[in-house]
Amino acid sequence: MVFNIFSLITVIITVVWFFVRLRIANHQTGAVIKWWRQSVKMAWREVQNKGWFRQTGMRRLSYFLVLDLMLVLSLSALIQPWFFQQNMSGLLLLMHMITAPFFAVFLVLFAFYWSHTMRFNDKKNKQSRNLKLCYWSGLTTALIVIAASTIAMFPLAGNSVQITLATIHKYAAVVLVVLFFLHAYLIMTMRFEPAKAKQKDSKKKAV
Amino acid sequence: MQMIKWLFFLLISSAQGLFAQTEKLGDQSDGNRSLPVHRIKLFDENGDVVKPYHERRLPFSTRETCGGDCHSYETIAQGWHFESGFGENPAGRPGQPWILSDQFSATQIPLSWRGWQGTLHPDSLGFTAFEFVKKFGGFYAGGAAGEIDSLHAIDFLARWDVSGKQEINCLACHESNRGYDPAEYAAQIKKENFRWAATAASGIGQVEGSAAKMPDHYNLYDNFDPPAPNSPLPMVFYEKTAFNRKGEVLFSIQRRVSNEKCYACHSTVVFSSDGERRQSDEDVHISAGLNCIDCHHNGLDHKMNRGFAEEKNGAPSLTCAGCHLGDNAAALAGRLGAPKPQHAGLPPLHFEKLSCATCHSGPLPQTEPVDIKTSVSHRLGTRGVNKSPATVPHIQAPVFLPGHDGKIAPHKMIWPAFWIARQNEKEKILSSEIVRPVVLELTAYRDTLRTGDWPQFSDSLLVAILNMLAAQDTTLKSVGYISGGRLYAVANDSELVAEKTELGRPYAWPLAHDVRPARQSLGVNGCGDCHAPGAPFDFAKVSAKTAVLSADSEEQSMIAFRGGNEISAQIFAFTFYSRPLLKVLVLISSLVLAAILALYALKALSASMQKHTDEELI
Repeated sequence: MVFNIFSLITVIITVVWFFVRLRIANHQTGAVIKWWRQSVKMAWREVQNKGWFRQTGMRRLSYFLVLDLMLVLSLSALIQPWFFQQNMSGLLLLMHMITAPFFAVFLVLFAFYWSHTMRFNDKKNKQSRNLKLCYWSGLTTALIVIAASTIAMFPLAGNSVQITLATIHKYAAVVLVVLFFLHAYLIMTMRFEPAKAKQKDSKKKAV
Repeated sequence: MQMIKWLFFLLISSAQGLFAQTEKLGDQSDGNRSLPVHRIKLFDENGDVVKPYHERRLPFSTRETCGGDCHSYETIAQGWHFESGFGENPAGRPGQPWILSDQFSATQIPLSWRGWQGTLHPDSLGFTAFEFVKKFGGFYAGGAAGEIDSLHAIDFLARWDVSGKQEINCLACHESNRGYDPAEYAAQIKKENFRWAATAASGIGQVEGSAAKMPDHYNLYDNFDPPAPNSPLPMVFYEKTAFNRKGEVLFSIQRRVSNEKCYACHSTVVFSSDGERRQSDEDVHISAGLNCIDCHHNGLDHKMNRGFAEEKNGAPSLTCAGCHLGDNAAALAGRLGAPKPQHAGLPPLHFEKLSCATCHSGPLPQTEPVDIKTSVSHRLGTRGVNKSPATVPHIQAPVFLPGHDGKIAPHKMIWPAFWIARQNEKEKILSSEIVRPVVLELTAYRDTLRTGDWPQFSDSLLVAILNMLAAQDTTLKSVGYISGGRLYAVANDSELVAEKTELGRPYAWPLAHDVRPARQSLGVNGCGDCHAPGAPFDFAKVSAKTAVLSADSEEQSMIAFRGGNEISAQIFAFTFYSRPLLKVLVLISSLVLAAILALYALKALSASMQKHTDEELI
């Protein structure tokens, strides 16, 4: 019950904050989603054309797959606690359990391809400090989330430890969701120019 | 003011006096833990001392002997075993019903005075308290149904006078003398010798004659000639050596009832297909030295602790969790050193969905529930009992169904089977006495091999039986047979039609014993014990036990039977083929991820150290 309320409030605050910030920064939600879909398609095409093990395609694809899979994991995990006041079970649990290993694998690939770029001491890299901070804390939280559930799956921990691990898993996962939105926001602000600014530019050019 | 004080004093004094009157000698222990010796005089139902040499030898009465000066009989009569649904005890979760069964009429009806959903109330069959005691009294410890006057139907008042009341049989549980014979008790009840049964079973006296053979006007206290030469009057002949010079008898009474006493009425046996009794081990708790009463204990009121968590009068500390987990989370062991379970690797979700008994109790699940026999249902332990494994009633176990708390638990289950008709716009269940002769007339089945099984009804035979029953009594309309969850009736004089009916729904009650050792629990071999494709927990085949041949092949999976989705369970089960691989994948992924994080953390540390060194050099 405590987790249900905590996760619901946290996620609502995060989502509201995300869209409010996007609006303040003059980013249109539709355009963001469109950019997202195009980026995934582009990455997919790149992987298909250049092969799965080529860095350029996989680098981008792993990035988007991790975020997409996390969305699936979050939804499958939170629907039942939020709307039915019960723990995850049945088909949603099945979905969660099947998706999770792929998330873990792509997270490794993601870390493998992106960590070098996200180094704090890399003077050539122009990524924002906040984005790097978000990246490394996200990666650490993800490791906690995965490790907590992995240990619980093996006959290593007893009842009480398992309950503790499950608690760690779900609360850390909520933190990860928050970091996900924060990361997405930082990416948007870096990659996109504000819509109004764009319009003004185009008007100036026309004049 | 002085007057009020006096009145108050009088009130308190009289209340104390009343209290002192109700508490009897043996109601409360003084703390001495040794066993009180019960060398006592016996009293008959009139409160007179029993003298073995007396001309009119009456059996001793437990109400007068045990309940006279020493134990509060009325308080004890509120106990679970005695009040049987007539007292104030809440019915609680469904329990074992009384099963009214008859082989040749293929009848098995779960009955209960407690009103458990799925059982029929004896009144609905017109089954009187007298018939109840005669049928089930051998396994009923006496009390309410056997002795409350208001329950005794007028039709049977004369018979009650002849047979006497079935008082609470204290000796059934508390007499530890090996001479006490529960089979003799059951035999006396069968002869309607209700008032004599306890005396006969105790071995203190031998009882001759049968109250069942006495006419309604038989009077115990008058000189009465036997109705026939081979029907002697019911009479007790006391063993004179049992009495000392003072006329006292020594009972080996024990407060802590032994397991064998409980087994007299609470045995369950699993038979294999070849009819041999399995070499079943004892319940693990019994093997460890515990007694049934260590968990199922009671106070003076004999309200037994049934052992489930939500029990109104129960003790939470005497449930599975109460003993094994206890109140102190930090303690290494539970009550009496009960090992604290670790359940390593078992997702906590299981504790929300399953009862402890699911994994730990009852016969190990197989491809289908096995046939079991219980003391009360099959009269185990009585004389001349049919030992065939196929004997009616047909009870199946384990069937994994949601229990009273919504958690899945192993159950024993019976499919009601009975004959029904409409009479005067009311549904009437036909007694086996009406149906049996008809079945025997129309079939050649005489069970010469003594299988104890019911006859098999082909569609045409069933039609013939139903038609004959309707013809025998023209007041009966819509005669039908309920079996295997369906109501069979005749349409157009010769066509058998079947439809599902609520009246035929199986009755199930949770089982908690025998508890298997942890090493034999479900899940000890991994998730596959329950989640593998074909695992009995979800995919054992459950079929209705019925005498109707055409319905015999109808079966469904355990999960479908309990209302679950079989397809999603199948999909879930198939994921367990890939689960080990996925687990390894996740494990490797998390290790690589940890390595990457560690590597970059070290790199950051190195860079930071380098930076500081450079600054110092500058």
